[in-house]
Formats: sequence, C-alpha cells, structure tokens
Amino acid sequence: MDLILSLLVDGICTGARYAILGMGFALIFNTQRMFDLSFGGVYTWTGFVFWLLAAFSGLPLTLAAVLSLAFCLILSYGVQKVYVSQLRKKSSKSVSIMLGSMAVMMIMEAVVAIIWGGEIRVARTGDAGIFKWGSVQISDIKLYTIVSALALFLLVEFVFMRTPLGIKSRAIASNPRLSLVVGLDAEKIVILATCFGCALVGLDAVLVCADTGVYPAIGFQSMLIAFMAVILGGIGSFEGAFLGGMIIGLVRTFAVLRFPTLWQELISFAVLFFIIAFKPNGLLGIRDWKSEV
Amino acid sequence: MDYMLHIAIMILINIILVVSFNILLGYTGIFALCHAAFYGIGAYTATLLMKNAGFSFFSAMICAMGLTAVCSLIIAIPGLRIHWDYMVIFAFSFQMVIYHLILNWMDLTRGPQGIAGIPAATVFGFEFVTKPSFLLLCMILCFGVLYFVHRLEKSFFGLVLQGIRDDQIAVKSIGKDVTLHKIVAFAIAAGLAAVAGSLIAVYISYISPGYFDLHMSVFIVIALIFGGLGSIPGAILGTIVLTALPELLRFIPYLPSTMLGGARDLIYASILLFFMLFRPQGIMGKSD
Amino acid sequence: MGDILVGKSIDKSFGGLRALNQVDVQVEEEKVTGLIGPNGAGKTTLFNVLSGFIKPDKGQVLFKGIDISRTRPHEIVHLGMARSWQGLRLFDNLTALENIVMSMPRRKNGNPLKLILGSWRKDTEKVEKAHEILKAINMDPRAGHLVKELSYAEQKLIVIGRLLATGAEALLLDEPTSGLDEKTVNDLITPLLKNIVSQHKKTIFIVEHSIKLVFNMCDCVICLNEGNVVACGDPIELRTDKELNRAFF
Repeated sequence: MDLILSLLVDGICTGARYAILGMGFALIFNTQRMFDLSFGGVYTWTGFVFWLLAAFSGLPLTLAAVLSLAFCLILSYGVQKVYVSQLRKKSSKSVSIMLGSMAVMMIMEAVVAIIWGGEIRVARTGDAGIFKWGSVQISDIKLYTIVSALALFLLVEFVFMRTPLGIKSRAIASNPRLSLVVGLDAEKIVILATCFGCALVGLDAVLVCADTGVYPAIGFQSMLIAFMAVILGGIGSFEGAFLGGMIIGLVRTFAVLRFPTLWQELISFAVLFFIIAFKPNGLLGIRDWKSEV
Repeated sequence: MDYMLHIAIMILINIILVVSFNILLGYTGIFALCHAAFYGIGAYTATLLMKNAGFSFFSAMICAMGLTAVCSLIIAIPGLRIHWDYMVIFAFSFQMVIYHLILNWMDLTRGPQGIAGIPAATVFGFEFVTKPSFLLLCMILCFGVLYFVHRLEKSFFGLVLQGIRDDQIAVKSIGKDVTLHKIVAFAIAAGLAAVAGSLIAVYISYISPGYFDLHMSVFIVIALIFGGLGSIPGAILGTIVLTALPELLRFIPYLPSTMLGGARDLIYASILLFFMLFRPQGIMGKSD
Repeated sequence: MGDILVGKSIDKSFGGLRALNQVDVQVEEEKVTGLIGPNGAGKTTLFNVLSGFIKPDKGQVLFKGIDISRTRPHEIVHLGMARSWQGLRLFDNLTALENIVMSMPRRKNGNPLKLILGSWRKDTEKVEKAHEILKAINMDPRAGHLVKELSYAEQKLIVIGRLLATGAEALLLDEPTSGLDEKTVNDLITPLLKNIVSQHKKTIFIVEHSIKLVFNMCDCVICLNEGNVVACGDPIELRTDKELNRAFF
C-alpha cells in the first residue's frame, strides 16, 4: 500500500511536469497551427541558464528562477522573430516549418553541447527540503511542480477564456485569415502566445534543473513528451494537453509495477504510435483539425 | 588509404539508404522519418540469420529485405488513414518504438551490447574480408539499387508516385489506387534499406542499436534534402557531402574530440535550416 | 436512352450547414446535362458526392444501375465515370504527355513488374494513344512541356484530355471554362466538348456559370439553389420560366 501511495505521488508529480509541458506546447501549437519545435532548444537553454545562475552567481534560487524565466521569454521572442517567422512566411508546407524549427532546436542544443559538454547539471544549493505527509514523503521541488501545474492550468484557462488577448488567440487559431481581415495582427499574437508557451515550458526546465538536472538533449526529450501529451489529450484542446500530460506521467510511473524500468520509453512511444494510428484526435481533441477534400 | 576505403564504403552504404528514402520522400512525398528503423530491422534480421541460422550473406539479405518490407506494413497501413502532416510524427513514433524495441529485447538483440562476431560476407565461396574486396561488393549492390530506383522513376508506377506527391486527390480521380501505391512504395523503400542493413552488419561485424536511432533517420533526411528531393544524382551528392563532412572535422587542428558530436550536429542542423529557409527542394531537387 | 447516372434523395450536411437537400438528379446517356446555380448552391458538393469523394448522409448514387454511394473514387473511375476539378489539380511538375499517360487505365492482363520496372515510354501503344488524345485537344505540339509552363487555357485543355484518357464513358466537368475568354470558349472548348459527345459517345455532366454555353450545349439543365433542385428540364423551356429568370438569369 505504501508503494502504491508513493508511486501515486510520484506519478502525479511526473504527470504535473508533463502537464506543464503539454500546456506550453498546446499554447504554441493551438495558435500557430503548425508544429514549431524550437521550444525544445529554448527549454535546454533556460535550464542551463538557471544552472549557471544558481551555481555561479550566488543569487537565491527563487530569484535565479525568475531571471531564467525572463531569459526564456527573451530567447523565445528572439528565436521567433529571427528564425521561425521567416520559416512561416517562406514555406507553405508545414513539414518545412517542422523541420526548420527542429533544425533551430538542434542548433541551440548543439551549441550548449559544445560549450558545456554533455554532463548533467543540477542547480542545487544544499539538501532538498522534504515534506512528510503520513507515510508519504515528497521533496519540495516535486511539491512545487504539482502546485505550479495546477496554478498554471487555472491561469491559462483564465487568460484564454476571459481576457481579450486569449480570445483573440483562439480566434486566430481557428481561422488565421479571417482574423487578418478583422484587423488582428495575427503575427504579433502568434509570437506572443508562443513566448507564453515557451515560458511554461521553461518553468519545467527550471524545476527539472533543480530536481534531477539538465543536459543538452533534454530539450528534445521534453519536446517529445509535450508532443505526446498534446496528441494524447487531443490536438486543439488545451484541457486535453493537461490531461494528456497527467495520464502519461501516471502511466509511466505505474508501468514500473509491471515492466522493467527500461521499458518506460518503449511504452510511451508505443502509446503514441497507437493513438495516432487509431485515435488521432486524442481524448478531447477537436474533430478533424485539418480535413482532406 | 585504408581510411579512404572506409569512407568510400560508408558512402556507398549510405547512398543505398538515401536513395531508397528518396522513393518515399522525394517521389511520393511521404515524410517517413523512420528510415533508420528499416535499416535496423534489416541489419538485425540479416545478422541473426547469418549468425544463428547459418544463412549465407545473400540469402540472409533477401530474407531481411522481405521481413523489413513486411514490417513496413505496420506503419504503412495505419499511416494511410491519417492526414499527411501527421505522418512525420507517426513515422517518428514508429522509429522510436523500433529503436527501443531493439534496445530492450535482450533475448533477441542483446540490447545495448549489440551483436558481435558477424561473419564476413561469402558469395559463391568468395569471402569478402578485405576492405578493397568489400568495397567491390558494396559497389555492386549499390549500383544494383541505383539502377532499380532509376527504372522505378521511369515507370508507370513511378509516375503515379510523383502524382501522389503533387496531388493525391487528383490521382484518385484518374482511377489510381493511392492506398495501394503508398503501401508498395513503403515496402520497396524498406526492402532496399535492408540491403544497407545487411551490408553494415558484415562490414563492421558488429551492430548495436545506436546505429539505427533517430539521429540516423535525421541524417538520411538531411542528406536527401541537401542533395535534392526526387533526384537520384541529388541523393548521391547529398550522401557524399554529408558523409564526408564530419570526417573533415577531424582535421580541424584545435577541435577537441569531445566537441565533435556537437560540432557535427551543429553543421547538420545549420544545413537543414538553411535549406528549409531558402531552398526546400535541395540542390538538385525537382520541386517543392 | 436510359439514365447512366442517377442521384436519389441525396442529403449532405457539413456541421450545421445543409449543403444538399433531397437532391434528385438524372443524367441521360450520350447527352449533355448542365448543372447551374449561384455560388454556394452546392454544385461542387454534388459532384463530390456523385464521384465518391464525399459520402452522402442520406440517399443513393447509382451508376449504370450499380449503387456507388460507398464506392471509392478510383474504383468509380474504373466503372466508367471520371470527373474534373474546378481547381484543375493537374500534376504541375510532370509534362502534358505524362499527365495524359498516367490517366490511362492499366492493362487488364499486364505484368505488375513491368509497371514498376518498365519504362512507360516503351509502352508504344499507350504512348501513341496519348498522343492521339493530345491531338484531339490540340495540344500535341506541347506534349513535352511541364504543365506548370503551360498557359491557363492550355492547362484547361489538358484537364479535358486527362478525362478522355481515363476512358470513362461519363465525364463530370466542373467549370471547364471558368477563367477563359469567350473566344477561347467558343473556338476551342465548345467544339471539343460537342465532339466528345457525338464522336466518342460520351455522356457529359457539366457545371457551368456561362449561361450561353449551357444553352448552346446542353440537352437538359438542372438548376440548383441552396442545396435544392429548383428546376430540371429542357433549357429552352426553362428560359421562358419567369420565376427562374429572376433567380438565375
């Protein structure tokens, strides 16, 4: 029973992490309607910046985190402006954009690998604080993760549903050309939403850096998870991304009961494979976000 | 000299991969980001047949081609029902599943340890043990593959594939079964990738999952994009340049070897980005 | 002569929008039937349903007496009905000749390996036939040009040529003359279409906006408005109908 409980806590925490990633990507994807993978590179950089600040600047962790997030916003803005906007303008094919943004991510990660090498970097000062709750232990980082996920979910829901910016983003998501006609500056809003999404993703980078550490390829790995969360939850649905992330996190954690740990990756990808094959719209997805004839 | 032979052999093997991938991406327009998976299935099948069942090189290769082609159905059939854009992710998930399967299926593949001691290729009693002789074998097979794909390009089937790339719906409206064509294209591309798999297995006498991962699939993609989609000379050009490039890196005086991986990735990614931005059809490519 | 193509009580909705409402159509063999109506009336949707690209919510499509409501588009072409597209949908990166050759049906007893490995140029029978079709549409001199290099009018001719190449008896043409000037339409397209019916014994079902062409060519006209068939019959009779005149003409 203890095992189940601690697995549950772990699962929820992992799920929360994945939910944050999923929400971030959902924000980016729902507004752009294209697979922009560059946020993977932003993720790696944000994680490394946090590590650098935490390890070398002597600033308190929380401040370092905030600064890292600011950096994340600026970096993602830069990436969008310099590369991704160009990609979007120049190509009609979404595959080109996917590949190009993946190239941007690869470049960003390669630079990190060249400068700092492939070791895992953790931003830790002192021991982790542990909260005890009955027989269950949970580290402070994991608790923060869960709380952040929930808070972010509510925040983004609010922003998207209530504020003018959110409503405009959704309008653009459903019909980009129409929004241009109506007078919304689609490009600006897309960039803004993407940066916001990157910030969410960046938050996970900070949390992970403080927990288990970051390495150059982590942006790519996280990008994959964000992907899976969104596809499982359903393309076009923000709530779905949250749900998708949670489910993947829980499944991965509980899979340990039955399968060897090494199989976790295999299971995740197999799940992704089967979902795309048989239920591409995911759990809560909008029906046919792109139609044929 | 030995080193040059090695590069030449790798180029030939990679050409087979890139040219077979061209059938999917260049002709048919299917972005199957899983070609390394087919490469791997071919390699492991040939290896196991040669090592554990005593098959000769050619029979192992033929069987590997068949099995890989059949495995391509796993992705081809569900892949037909999903929208074009999804294909990349779907193929990617297939790639990852196959990779992790190879990695984890210890009983069959010995996982990360790989399989060593693969016997050299023997054809009609002649053992291709030395590098020059193996180069000859590679040249023969590579030429065979190139000729096959060249004939394919000029056939009715090839025309329809190119039609599918341009406009699937139009192809349906002229009475061609798009579904069947895609399945066959996948099977052919996968089967040819298995040829490369068989070759690499007997060349290095050792295979491990790391040769057949996403990195490799991406490499194949970049090589084709660089050289030109839909063009056999383009595929050859792209392969030569991209295989030779990282080797040139070794000669840069102050570059520490720890940075090689990152530097190589940086170059590949920059090439990819450049082409996506400025010339998506590649150097010698025919169309978008 | 019987009806080669029949649509019975076809319903089709997209979300909340009713595109086709209890639509009945009959297309007589070896005749030219016209389909007219304002933009958004549902003409292309009807074509899509008839040619198998969209499945109707309700109703049936019968071709030569066979129910093809659920048949796949390429199979319908094999049965003998082919359609063209408003947006051309030609293979831009292939030549005119290649576009025609591709559209020709496969040999019944052909060797599948030949399909994959044999150069199509060596199939002299097919290539000759393709050139004949190109000559019929006055495009033979341009056979080796890529379609994207051809002029718009020439591309419109290739569209018709492709239909002919399929060997189908019933041809559904979706606005074959849109975007062309009157001289081209009168000198090139109209005689060609008339020839197709008289000499090649085809049936034509044509969507058109040019009223002049419709009256010039059609034996029977169907008027569609907002998903409903509002009239159907001899063009001359319809011309004199006051109600229709107000709505359409």
